[in-house]
Amino acid sequence: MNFRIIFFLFISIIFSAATFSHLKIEITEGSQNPIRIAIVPIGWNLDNPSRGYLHQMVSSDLESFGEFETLTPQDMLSLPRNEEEVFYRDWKLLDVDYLVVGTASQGEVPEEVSVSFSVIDVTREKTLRRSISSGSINYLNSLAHVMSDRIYEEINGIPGIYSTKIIYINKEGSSNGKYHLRLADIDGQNDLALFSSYEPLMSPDWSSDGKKLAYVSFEEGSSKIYIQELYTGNRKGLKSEGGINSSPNWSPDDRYLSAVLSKAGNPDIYIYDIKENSWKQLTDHFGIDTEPDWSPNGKKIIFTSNRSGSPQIYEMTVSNGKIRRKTFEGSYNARARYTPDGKSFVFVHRMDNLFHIAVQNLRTGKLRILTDTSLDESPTISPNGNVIIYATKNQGENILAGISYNGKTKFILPTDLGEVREPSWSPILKQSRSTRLF
Amino acid sequence: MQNYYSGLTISLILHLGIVMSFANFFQIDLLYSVQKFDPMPVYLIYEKSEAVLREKKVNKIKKVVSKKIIPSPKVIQISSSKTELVNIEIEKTLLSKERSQLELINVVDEISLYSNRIKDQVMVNWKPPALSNFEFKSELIISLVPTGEIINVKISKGSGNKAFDRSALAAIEKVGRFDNLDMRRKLFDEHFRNFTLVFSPRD
Repeated sequence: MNFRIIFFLFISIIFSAATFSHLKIEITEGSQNPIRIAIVPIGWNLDNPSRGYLHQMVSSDLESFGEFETLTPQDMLSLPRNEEEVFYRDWKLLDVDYLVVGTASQGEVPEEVSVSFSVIDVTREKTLRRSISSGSINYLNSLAHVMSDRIYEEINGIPGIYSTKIIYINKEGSSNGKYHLRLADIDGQNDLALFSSYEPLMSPDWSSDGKKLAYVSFEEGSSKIYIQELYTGNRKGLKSEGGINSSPNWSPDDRYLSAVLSKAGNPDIYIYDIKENSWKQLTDHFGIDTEPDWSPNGKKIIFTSNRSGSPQIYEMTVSNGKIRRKTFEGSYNARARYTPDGKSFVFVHRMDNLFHIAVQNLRTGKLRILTDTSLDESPTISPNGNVIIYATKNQGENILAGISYNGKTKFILPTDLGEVREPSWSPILKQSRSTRLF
Repeated sequence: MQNYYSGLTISLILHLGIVMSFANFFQIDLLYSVQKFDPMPVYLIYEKSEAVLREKKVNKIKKVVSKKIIPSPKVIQISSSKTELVNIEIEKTLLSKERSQLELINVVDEISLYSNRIKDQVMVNWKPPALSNFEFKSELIISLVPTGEIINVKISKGSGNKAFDRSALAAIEKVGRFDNLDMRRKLFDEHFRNFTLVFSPRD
């Protein structure tokens, strides 16, 4: 009896598989319109008057890379302060995809503002997230950045980058002007000099925990690599090895620095063990090896070498020293940086004697040129992989410019500081000022 | 002993199933693949415009009908010529074969026509999140009623990114009802009552 049931089951399985000719339709492209989001003016339940409008700051944050389209309060049909006051019909009429409503109130300490806000999916009539973000009333801008990060993360599924920072090298206008290592918000605001010197400063790089910086300084006459703690300002020079000391780059666990030394005669890649205070040679070739970058998993290092006769990108497996050439198009490819997922790298690519920022997939080798400016250098990629900032020339002046990874949105970071170059993007900086409730 | 027999039978059935599917007994892919057909008829069909093709098909069906009538005075003809009858039989089978192939091609055409209509309506309403990583992919099983109304959506294979899956669900929610799905009932029941939508943006 049992046997018959099993027999029947298997027969039916075989025949159901046979008749299961299921139709699959593949959607490879979405609408070209950006996501429409409405940031309703935040209700203000404080005695202190506000000096700025949070909803405006958040809206302009979200619009900055072209991923979102925001509504002004004049376009809105109602101005709800909390979820209960939301009428979905109003927002569906305006073709809004997401809605943010919230109220600001006095924080636990004076001068502190606490904003409780909700991110609502209008299409599916559902609240996605409730959060409380707090910050100083005097720095509403950074509070807005934190809120934008949370909203971005909820909608796009990857971290927002509005409260990340960049460091870059700046030289004052005159010929004997000072060099500065500067820290700024990614929109160029809240600029701050971290270190200044009359001798050149070069190649700054963030540690993976965002607390330390490494850079090259010529303050002692020759090039030397320094590590500086961001919050204390303490600096320490690494044991100098004579010749060139350049291009420091932190390993993902912050235990090592990869850098370029020329103590053996020509520039090669070395690894510096921070605990042991010692150097270990990684590449050994009579060509120039330079500009190393660790892969996000720490297993590989990508670098530029002219061993084939022209500068090209190579990738090395750290554990066994195996090297593979990665770029074959064009006669100049340099300054590679891994994308955060480790699947691609951005680099400087020369085409028709113009230098562009390009991106190449490591597995498929497919190359895509991102920028249409001409003298682009030192790209640095945002920690969520969606935006690239690079140095370029605009009417003869060195400036910083940015482009979204999909190539659709371009922007320039305004500065009146003279020459700016070699930007380096911070990792996502840890913040305890925002709590997720739901 | 009983266990031994049941095990053997199960394995036999499974092997039979595998062999049969290798021999294309179930013809699973025939519906979706034009290459599987004999090259001759396909070549002819692509030479003629669609209007001509339709006419030809109708004529052929008529012919079949008329030839079916001919065998009715069999009694007279049997004695006269057996070969002619055999010829008619051969012709009949050939024609019916051709006809079924024509029908199959039409089904493929129809499926792709309505699939494209569905695709267009989803694409307009889908706003994928901005992701640098282009390798996300989620699969949704959609259930329709003949009016085109979506009665059920289920994620059968998530992308691993919550926001990406949600954008796909939101697109379906926005469509609500597929327009212009005025198809034969049989085609609808076989292919469009339940189908899978794959969301996978390409670079």
